[in-house]
Amino acid sequence: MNLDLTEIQSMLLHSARDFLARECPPRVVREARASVNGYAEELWRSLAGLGWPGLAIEERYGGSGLGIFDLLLLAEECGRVLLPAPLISSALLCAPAIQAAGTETQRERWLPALAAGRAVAAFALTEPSARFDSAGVQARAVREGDGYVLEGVKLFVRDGTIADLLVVVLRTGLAENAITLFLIDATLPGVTRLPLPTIGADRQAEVRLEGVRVPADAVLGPLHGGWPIVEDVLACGTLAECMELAGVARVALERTVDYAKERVQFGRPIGSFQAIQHLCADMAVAADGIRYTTLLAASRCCAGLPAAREIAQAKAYASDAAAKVVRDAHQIHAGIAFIKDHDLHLYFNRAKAGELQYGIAEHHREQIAAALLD
Amino acid sequence: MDFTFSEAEETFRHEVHAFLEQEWPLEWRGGHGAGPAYTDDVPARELVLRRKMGERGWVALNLPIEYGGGGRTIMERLIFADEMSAFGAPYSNTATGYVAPSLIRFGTEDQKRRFLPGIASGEIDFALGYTEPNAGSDLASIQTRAVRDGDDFVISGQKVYTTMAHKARYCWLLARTDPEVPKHRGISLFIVDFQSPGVTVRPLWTIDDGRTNEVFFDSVRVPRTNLLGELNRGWYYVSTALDFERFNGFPLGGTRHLFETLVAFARDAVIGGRRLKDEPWLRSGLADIAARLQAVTALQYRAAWMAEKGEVPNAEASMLKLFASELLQSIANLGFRMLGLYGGVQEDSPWAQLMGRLERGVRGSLLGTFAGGSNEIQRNIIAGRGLGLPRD
Repeated sequence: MNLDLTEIQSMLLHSARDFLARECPPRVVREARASVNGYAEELWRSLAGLGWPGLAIEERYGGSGLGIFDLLLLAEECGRVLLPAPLISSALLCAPAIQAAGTETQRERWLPALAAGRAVAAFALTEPSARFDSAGVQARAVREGDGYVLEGVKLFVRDGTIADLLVVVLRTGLAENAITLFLIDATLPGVTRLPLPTIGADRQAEVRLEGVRVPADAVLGPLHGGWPIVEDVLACGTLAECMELAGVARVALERTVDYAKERVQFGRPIGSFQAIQHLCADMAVAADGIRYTTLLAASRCCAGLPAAREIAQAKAYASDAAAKVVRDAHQIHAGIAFIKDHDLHLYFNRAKAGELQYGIAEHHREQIAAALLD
Repeated sequence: MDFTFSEAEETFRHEVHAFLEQEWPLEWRGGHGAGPAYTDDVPARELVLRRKMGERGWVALNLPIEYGGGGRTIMERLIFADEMSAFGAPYSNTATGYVAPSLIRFGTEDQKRRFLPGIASGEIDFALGYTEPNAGSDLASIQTRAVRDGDDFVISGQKVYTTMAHKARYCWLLARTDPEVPKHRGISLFIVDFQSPGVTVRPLWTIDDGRTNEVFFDSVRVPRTNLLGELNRGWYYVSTALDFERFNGFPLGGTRHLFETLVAFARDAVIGGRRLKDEPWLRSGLADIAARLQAVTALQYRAAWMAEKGEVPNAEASMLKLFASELLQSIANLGFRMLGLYGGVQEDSPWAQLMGRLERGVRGSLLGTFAGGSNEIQRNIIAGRGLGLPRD
């Protein structure tokens, strides 16, 4: 048992907290939302300067040579400030998959650019079927001559509109798991990206593939054998989402406690009333619970142990707990936070988006039940 | 970051597990929802177990070896409590968790000599004499009075819910020694022999077929050498004592074992032609429990890790107790409903399922959310000490 951060992790998180507190106040978040691209470009360049996009990329490709776990720790800091930047998409969902499954050519072509933040990558799995399993993948890649022709629609693709590189999950055969990953330059003819306006302002996109021609070397990993890679990406993505929710819940709690100490009614701060105190206490348990259950699952996953059930348990808990925290935060703030000028709703929206991302709690509970009972 | 136990720690767990398999038979265990109903032979068999544990140095795991303790680590103590809890074996940490560390910290050499060896060997046990009819959450309001008379204190008053009183030799008694000062400042801690003249222990029968007690002190003479530390410093000693075992406030073994029992049952059971495991509400209910169990386990490890580093988990321990007690209630209730009509069948019937213990368990599940520091108080602690919210 060792729940301490390493010295590197400690330094990384301390500097991250300071940096983001300065460089990513709510004003930056709101401006990003309102902007054409939906993300904070200058901030992203700064993050690139800090080496965050390449955190889990090996040093020989220009990365920092740290690991997924370190990125997950960073994800909580990103959640705290509602980071409007494609860090998770590029650094966590896509780069490690390319590093693990890519050919040397593919690695050399993409990893240095991703590490430097010069290129942004997005992971395109989900479709209008809104599922996270292989049966939900109907978009296909058909062999033609020396290459493939891609056809289909991807939906809910995080950072799809700003990505330079799309890691696309496509069906290449009739068997349920005949799935292949493709590395697609987002500017190729036939690729159309349309913004999908969502509650979390998380730059989701509709990605249309209409007769997109790609060479054979666009295939990432084994032909028809892409699903295990997708599962790894989903595992990391789910954990990152939970860690972001931990940060979101934590700040919602902090703001609420501050408010409860300030707001006076009946001649005393409302935070001195037990009804308010007890809601806050439950929020504190939830915030700690989200963080620690996710870290438990993450440490297992990153140690290479089977962790599917633990990850599902973390997401099931985090989904519901974060939703309750932001709900209770709004309850305590009441009218003042129902006005758009107040920042709390940004956290509410983010938590709600998180409830859905990678599957709602009920979906994960069904996975857990299957593991327990079937 | 690593949330697992070491090989040596797992070996220790196996040792404890094997010991309890051997020494604590199924009929006495509590993993199916509750232990058996109280019978008069309970104290005797608990003493037998405690002596055997004492031989292995497993009673006072937390105490340094030079005091007869096991000198075990925080993680080993956590593991031990976990296994005891899983077996529903008697794990009262009054003597080892409150009395002994207090004696080491604040006791005289004479007191250490008189009590520590017996505590460590399992020969003697202590009951917690705190709560009174008018002093539960508001413990500082206790009225049991101790008046100095020569070389003794004369103690009169009443304690209630003194669960160990019929099983323990001594009472760790909180009494008022100065009624003139603010209530927290006029309390002292004493060691009182239950066999002293003037002590009457009367059973109180609980709704889950168990036993607790009320204890009457009628001018009981207690030698002044049984006063802990300084007069009127009792509140400080009580508060300090609470810190010694905070991380172990609600061992999860029993909770986890009950959950696993329900899962095993659900996997195979067919009731009225329906496979239980196909029921959506049960699948969802068990999965929700599994998710909460992981979260509370992670919080428990967090509290233990703090203790391992010499920190005192305050709000963190309150969170643990709060979460764990509510979770156990949820599990007991889900299991009860899972069995449908069978859930209400008591253990003596041949129709009873899972030893009929869930029926008792659901009655007993009321206890955890108010005992050991009521959950409302725990929430106050989290809000006040954890979040810095102002006092009511």
